[in-house]
Amino acid sequence: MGPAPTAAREGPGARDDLHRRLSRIWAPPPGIQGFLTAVNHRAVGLRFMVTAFIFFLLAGILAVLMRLQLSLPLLGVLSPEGYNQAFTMHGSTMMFLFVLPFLEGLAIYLVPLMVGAREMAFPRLNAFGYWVFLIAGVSLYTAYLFGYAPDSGWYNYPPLTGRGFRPGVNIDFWVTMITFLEVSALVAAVEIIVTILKQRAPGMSLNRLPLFVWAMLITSLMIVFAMPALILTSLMLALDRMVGTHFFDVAAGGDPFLWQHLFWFFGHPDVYIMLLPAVGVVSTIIPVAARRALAGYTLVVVSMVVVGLLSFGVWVHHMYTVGLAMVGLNFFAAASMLITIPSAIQIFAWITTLWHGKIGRLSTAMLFSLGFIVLFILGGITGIMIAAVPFNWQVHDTYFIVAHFHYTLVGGSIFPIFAAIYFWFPKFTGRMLDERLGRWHFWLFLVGFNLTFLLMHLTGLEGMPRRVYTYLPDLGWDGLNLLSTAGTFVMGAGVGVFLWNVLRNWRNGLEAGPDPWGGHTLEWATTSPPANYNFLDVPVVRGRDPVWMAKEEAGEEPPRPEWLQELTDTPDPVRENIVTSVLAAEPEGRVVLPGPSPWPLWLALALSVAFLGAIWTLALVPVGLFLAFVALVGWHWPRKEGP
Amino acid sequence: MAPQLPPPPLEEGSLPRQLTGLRSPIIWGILMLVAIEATLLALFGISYFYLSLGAPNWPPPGVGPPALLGPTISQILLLASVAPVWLALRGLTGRGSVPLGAGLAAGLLLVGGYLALKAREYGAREFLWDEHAYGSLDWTMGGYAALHVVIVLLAGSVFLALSLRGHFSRERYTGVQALVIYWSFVALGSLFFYAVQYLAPRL
Repeated sequence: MGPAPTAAREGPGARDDLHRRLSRIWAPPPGIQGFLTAVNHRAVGLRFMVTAFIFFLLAGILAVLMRLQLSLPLLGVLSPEGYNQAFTMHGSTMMFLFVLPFLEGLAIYLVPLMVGAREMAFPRLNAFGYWVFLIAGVSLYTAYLFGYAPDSGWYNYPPLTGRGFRPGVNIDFWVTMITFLEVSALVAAVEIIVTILKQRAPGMSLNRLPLFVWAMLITSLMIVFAMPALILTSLMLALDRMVGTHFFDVAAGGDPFLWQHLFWFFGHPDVYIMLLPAVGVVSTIIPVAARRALAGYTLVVVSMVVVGLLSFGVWVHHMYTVGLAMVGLNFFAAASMLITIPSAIQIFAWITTLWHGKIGRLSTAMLFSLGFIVLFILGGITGIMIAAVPFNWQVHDTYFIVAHFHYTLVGGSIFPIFAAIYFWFPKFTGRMLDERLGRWHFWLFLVGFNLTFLLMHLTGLEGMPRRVYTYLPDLGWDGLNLLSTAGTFVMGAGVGVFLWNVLRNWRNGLEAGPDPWGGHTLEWATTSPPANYNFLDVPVVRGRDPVWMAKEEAGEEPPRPEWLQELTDTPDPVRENIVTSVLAAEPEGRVVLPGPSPWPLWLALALSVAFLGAIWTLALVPVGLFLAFVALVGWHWPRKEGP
Repeated sequence: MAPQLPPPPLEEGSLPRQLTGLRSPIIWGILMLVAIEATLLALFGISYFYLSLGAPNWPPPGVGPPALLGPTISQILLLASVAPVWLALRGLTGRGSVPLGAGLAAGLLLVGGYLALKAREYGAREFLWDEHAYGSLDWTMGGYAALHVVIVLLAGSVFLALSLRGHFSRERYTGVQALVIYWSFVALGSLFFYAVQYLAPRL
């Protein structure tokens, strides 16, 4: 197509022409090649979410198997080894393959839309992160199919996981594939941070950032500083297992507590890495339901930052029973209790917003948000209880702990994830989910969840230990366990209703239109699903709720700056995005972004030769690294266009 | 509602495509990579002291404190390698006279010297990684530092090839900036390892 006249941007014909030109340059190539080379943030984000949800279903099946095994004393549904693999894979999947990747996928999809960008800062890194995630997850489940799954818990403590006690390849899969997964989490974090800091629409200063974007900025910074601990300690364990080093071997001067410190230095921030995006989701949904801006915006942002910082100072509360000095424990107990203060600020901000809002009929997204608030408060209360050292000693390694962290993780992450799906499904697909089925889903899931886990507090106080594949009759645990298992099936029914709702409405649901909920953030200012280029005109932001502002002004907004048209109104557009300053989002320039590329997939495959190969022979590590170097050179070799 | 700001200010009437320094997203990406790797280095150091302070003898019996001369020389070579590439970047942006190719080549030579000396040093080690935790840390930290220097060597060579093809110019140098940032980080990070590995056992 030849260059179009730039002056003719008035009138619907010119808009259509602009739409066609932008669609063409931002479109992925067709067919299988397009699938393998796509870098578009919406495609990658959806892939993350769908793949992570499939892992959620697999981990759910493992949970059902475990509950069946525990429904009555002395059952043989799972062997002891099978049970060990099931709870290890259930925990590892939920933490590493579902919650975090799903939330990252949500952020990869939504953050550019919310900040008014056409694409993320590093589109190919985005695609690379997805392939790494896919390869790591599929490898772990392939190992499970063949009976080689990790079997020592998601925390993988040595010396149990050392070569001496676990000679097989099961643990090797954990140390290599979990490290590989962290690479995916880290690259996603980096590109989310840089996109937020450098590619916001002009005028979206940091104090106008939508709360979900704030939450993802803080979460991503936490990933940057927490994940290296897991990478380092996994590297040490891998070396202990594969080349005979002694990092965790007391006999040769090592120390297994080093693993526990490093693991929980990652592991506790990880809990908040999974929670803060949920805070962002709920802080986005509640103002829309209440038809007013969130109360205490600044306080909520500050409280999220404080939670992020404090979460790095509480890791030892996972280690109260290992025999550390009492003085240290007091410090960590105090820090753990301190976290309730910023968390309470968030909860009061939501309550205040709802109190002063105009709430109509509650949507399913709102129901899940309210469910989150209630369950998270319950999990928080048991959290304060187990932050106290003496109580912790009593219930350590019992089902009380299992109940507590399922309230914080299912309540704190999975309820908000469902809220997010109901809220943004119309944006993803252009179709509405069925609200009546949504209510069935919510109530089944809520009742089933409480039946399963509320009772587990009692099971734990009655003394039933975690991670044990069966128990003797007449210890007072029989009835509680049977009811917990029944609750699992009620939850499962809820998830079944949800799946039916999604499958039925993905293509054939009611048309959503651009803004079905009357939202305030920029993703509602474009079509559903958004066109390849996200926004026909680069948005200019003059307030905290740009979409509501535009509705109030209704055509009376000031004229758009002339220089912004350079990005859209050129005869020869390329994939590019405006670059703005970090604090005030003042325009600094523009950046040409790369299009579809085979290198992200190549790099992921090359690195998996190194990581997976290490399980069989270390000779494959340099081979994989060399292939990765080739891929990186191909990746960075200058394009004809741009820098 | 937050107060409305006037339309954002505007430089030179249009939006430039060549962004450098903190204006460039690529530089921010490199800084994030440095943040990740710096955290890893700090945790390496913490692990070293966690194990050394918990051990009755450090280094273990039969292992003397590490020799200083060889590691100090190689460390100086690596630190010195930053200077020519930094001067080359200044030359590229018109604030100096060192040509980019010459600066990169000089930096790569010094980096190669570091690697050769390190290979010689570790070849003469009287213990291996599988003898005690001290040996595990010594070899792992040395290997980790060397891997990063190899990455710098490979990346620097690719930049040298690109600069010989005339890819960089006074307007287009963000990539070289990114290389210099990472190169400096690797040199400083290895200085941290040097302090932990060679100075701490003598305290």
